[in-house]
Amino acid sequence: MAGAARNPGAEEIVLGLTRAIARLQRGRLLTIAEFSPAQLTLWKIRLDSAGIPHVVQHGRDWHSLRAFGSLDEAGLLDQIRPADDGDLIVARTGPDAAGGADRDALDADAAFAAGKRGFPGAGSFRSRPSADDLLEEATARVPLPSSLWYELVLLRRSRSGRLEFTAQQLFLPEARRGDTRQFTIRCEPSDDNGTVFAVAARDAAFEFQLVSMASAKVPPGGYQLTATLLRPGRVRFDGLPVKLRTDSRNWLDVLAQVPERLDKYGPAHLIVAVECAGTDEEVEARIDRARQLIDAVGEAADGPVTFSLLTFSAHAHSRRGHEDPVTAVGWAQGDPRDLIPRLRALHKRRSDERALRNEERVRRGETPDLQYPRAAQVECMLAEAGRRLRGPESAGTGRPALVTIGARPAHPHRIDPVSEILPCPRRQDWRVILPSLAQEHAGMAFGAVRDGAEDPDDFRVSPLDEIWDHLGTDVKASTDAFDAHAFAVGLGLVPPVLQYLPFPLATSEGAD
Amino acid sequence: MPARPQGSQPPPPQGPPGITMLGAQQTGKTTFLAALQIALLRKPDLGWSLKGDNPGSTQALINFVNDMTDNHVFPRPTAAIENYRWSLEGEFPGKGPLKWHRWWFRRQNLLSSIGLDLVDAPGESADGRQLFGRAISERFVDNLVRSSGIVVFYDPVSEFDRGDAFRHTFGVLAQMRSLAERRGRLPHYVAVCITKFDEIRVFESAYKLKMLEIGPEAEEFPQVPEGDAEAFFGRLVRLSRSDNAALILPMLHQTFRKERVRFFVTSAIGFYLNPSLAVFDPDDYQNHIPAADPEPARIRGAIYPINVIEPILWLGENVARTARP
Repeated sequence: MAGAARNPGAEEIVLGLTRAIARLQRGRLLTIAEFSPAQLTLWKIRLDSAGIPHVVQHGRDWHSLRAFGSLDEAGLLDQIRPADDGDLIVARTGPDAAGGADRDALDADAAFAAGKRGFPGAGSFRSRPSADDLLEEATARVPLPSSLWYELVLLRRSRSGRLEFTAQQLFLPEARRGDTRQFTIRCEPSDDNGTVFAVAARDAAFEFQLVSMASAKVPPGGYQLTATLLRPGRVRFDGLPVKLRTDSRNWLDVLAQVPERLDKYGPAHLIVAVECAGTDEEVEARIDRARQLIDAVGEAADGPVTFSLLTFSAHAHSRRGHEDPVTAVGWAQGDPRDLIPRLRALHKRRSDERALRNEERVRRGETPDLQYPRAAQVECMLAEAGRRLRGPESAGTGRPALVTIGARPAHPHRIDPVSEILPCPRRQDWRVILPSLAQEHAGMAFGAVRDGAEDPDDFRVSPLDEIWDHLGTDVKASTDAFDAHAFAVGLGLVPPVLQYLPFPLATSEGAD
Repeated sequence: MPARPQGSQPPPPQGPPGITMLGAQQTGKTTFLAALQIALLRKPDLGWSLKGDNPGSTQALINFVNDMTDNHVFPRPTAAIENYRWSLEGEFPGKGPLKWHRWWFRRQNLLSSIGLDLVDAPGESADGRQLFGRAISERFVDNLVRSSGIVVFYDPVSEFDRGDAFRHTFGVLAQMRSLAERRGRLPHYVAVCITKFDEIRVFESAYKLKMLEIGPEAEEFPQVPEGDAEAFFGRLVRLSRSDNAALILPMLHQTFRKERVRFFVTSAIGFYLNPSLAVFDPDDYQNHIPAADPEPARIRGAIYPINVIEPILWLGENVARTARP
C-alpha cells in the first residue's frame, strides 16, 4: 500500500490493510490518517500478545485544523506523524467534493495531498467506504500469529479423581477467519454462572494468555462441538444446547472455583426390588419410590448405570393358593424408562387376575384366597438377584446396589418358633444368601425403603425386622419420607454434594 | 353359625351317663369334635361313629367339618354350646349278651350309645369365683357329675398367654366333689387332653424334652407316647403364666382315682404335610396359620388329627362297660 496514491477497490484495500496489520510487530503501531469530509480521524492499530488487533481512534474537525481561514498543513502533519516512527497510511475516504462550496471536502483533499507529500513513505489509498468499515473487515481477516495456538481451557480428571488443567487445541498458528475444529467435551453440573468456555492463546514456550471467556448454564452431558474462528480473539462454539454469553468475571476468580477433585461414582448396576403385596395404595407408594430413585440415579450418576427391577409378593400359604413368583420386570437395562410402566402393568394384571380367581372361589362357596399376610418372598428375591448376578444373564455394569422397597419380613428357611411365620417353600435362607451376595460382589451396596419406618431405629424394633436392618446396611429410608437423591448418595451411586465444575471436562481420563 | 337345635329351652340332662368335654372357650373343643368326626370316618373299623342327637346338632357337626375340610378355617365359636348334643355310637359284632339261637347260644352285637356333651367352662360358667348361684352353672356341674367320662382340655398355648387353667379347674372340681353323693375320690374316667400339639411352641417343647417318637402312620408324624404324656403335662404347666397351674395335677389326683385319669397329647388339625413330600417335615410342619387382620386364622393343609380318637375310645369303652347291665 505504500507508494504512489492509487484508487484500488475496497477488497484490495482490505487485503492491504490485513497484510499491514498482520506484519505489525509486538509493540508497534500502525497509524491510519483518514481524511474525510467529516473530519480528520487518526486510527492507531496494534496487535497484542495474543495476536488480536486493537484499534483506537480520535478525530479532529476541519475547523480546528485551519489557521486564518485556510488549512494549517504544518500543524496537520504534526497531528498525523506516528509517535513511534511507525507505519503510516493516509487515506481519503468519503465522497468527493461536490464543488467549490464544499469546503470540508476540499480541505480533506488538500490534507490528503499534504499527507502524502509530508510522508512520502506512507501508504495511501482513496476509498468511498470509511476506514472504520475497512478496518472492521481487515482486522477480522488478520491470521493468527505464526507462533500462537488457540486452545480451549478444559479440566481433566485423573483416575484418582484429581483435577488438572488441560487444553483442547482449537486453531493452529496462522489460522484464519472461518477455520473450524471439531472436538468432544463433557459438561458437569455448574453453578449459577454456568460452564466457562475460555479460549487461551499459547505460544511455543507454553505461555498462556486468555483470549476470550464466555459461559452458559449447559446441561450436564457430553457434547460434540465445532469451534469456528470468527476473527482473532473471537471464537464461536456450535453444538451446545444453550447460547454462550460473554463472561466478564475476573479470570482468577473463575480459576478459584475449580475443585481439587472430582469423585466419580460409577459404573454401577442398580437393582430395585419392589414388594407387591399389600393394598394397592401401599404398592403404588413403593413403585413411586422406585421411580424416584431410578430417576435420581439416572440424572446424577457420573458413570454408566444399568438398571434392574424385580418384584416379589407373598408365598402361597397352602397348596390351593395362588402364588405370584419373583419376577424380573427388567434386567441390566441401560435405559430405565420403561421399567416402571411395565411394573405398574404387571401389578395391575396380577391384581385383576387375583380378583377374578377369588370371585370364582366365592361363587363355588369357597373362601377367597387371600395372600399370606405376615411375610413376603424377600429371601426368594435375594436368591433370584444373586442367581441373575452370577449369570447367564448380563451382570450389568459395575458395582451392584440392591434396593429393597417393602414392608414385610422374609419367610424363614425353616419353621420359626418366635415369629411363627411359615417357612419359605423353597427353603431359601436369607441369612446365607445375603452375606454371600456381599461376598461375591465386592462393594455391593444395600439399601432398604420400608413402609412406616420413621427413622433407622425402626428397622430393628423386633426380631422380624432383622432382615430389613441388613437389607438397609448402607442406607435406610421410609416410603413416607423419601429423599431419592440422599438415598442414592447413601448407596454411593451419586456424589454426596453436587460437584460444580466451572470448565468443561476432557472426555479422556488422565493418568495419576 | 350352626343351626340352633329345636326348642328354645336347653334340654335338661337326660339319658345314660355320657362323656362331657370340658374346656375353656377357644381351647379347641369344637375343632376337636369335628376332628373326631373326621378321624372316625377315616377309621370305620373301630366301630364308633358320631352323630347329632337332633337336626340342629347334626347340621352343626356338618358345618364344623365343612369349615375345616373345605374352607380350611376353624369352626366358628359356638354360642350356647350347651344346647347341642351329640352321641358316640358303637357297634361291636359278637360283643353283646348271649342269646339262644336255634340250638346254641350266640353273642349278639353290642350296641352302645354314649352322649357327648361339649361344655364351655370358661368365663362365668367356669370361673371358680363366679360359679355359685347360677342355674346354668349348676346344670353344668350336675352334668359333669352325671357323666361317666370327662375330657378335660388343657390348651398350653392359651395357658401360656392367660394362665387361668387352675382357677377354672379348681372351681369346677370343687363343685363336683360337693355334689357327689359318695365320699372319696370321684369314679369318673378322665381324659386330660393336652391340645394343640401341632403348635410350634408345644411341639418344640416336646422336642426339647426328648419326648417325641415317630408314630405308626406312613406319614411318620411325631407323637408323645401315652406313657410320657403326664410327664409332658407336668412340664408344660410349669410354663404357665400362673404359678398355680402346677396344682392342677395334684388336684386331679385328689379328685379322681389315679388309674382313671389318663393324659393324651393331641392335635385336632395335626401337622402340615407337604403333599409333594407326603412325610412329616420337621422344618415345615405348621398347619395353623394365625389370624392376621383382615384374614382369619386358617388351616394350611389337610387335617391329620393326632390322638383324637384315642381318649374318646378309652372313655367310650369304659363308659360303655360301666353302663352295661
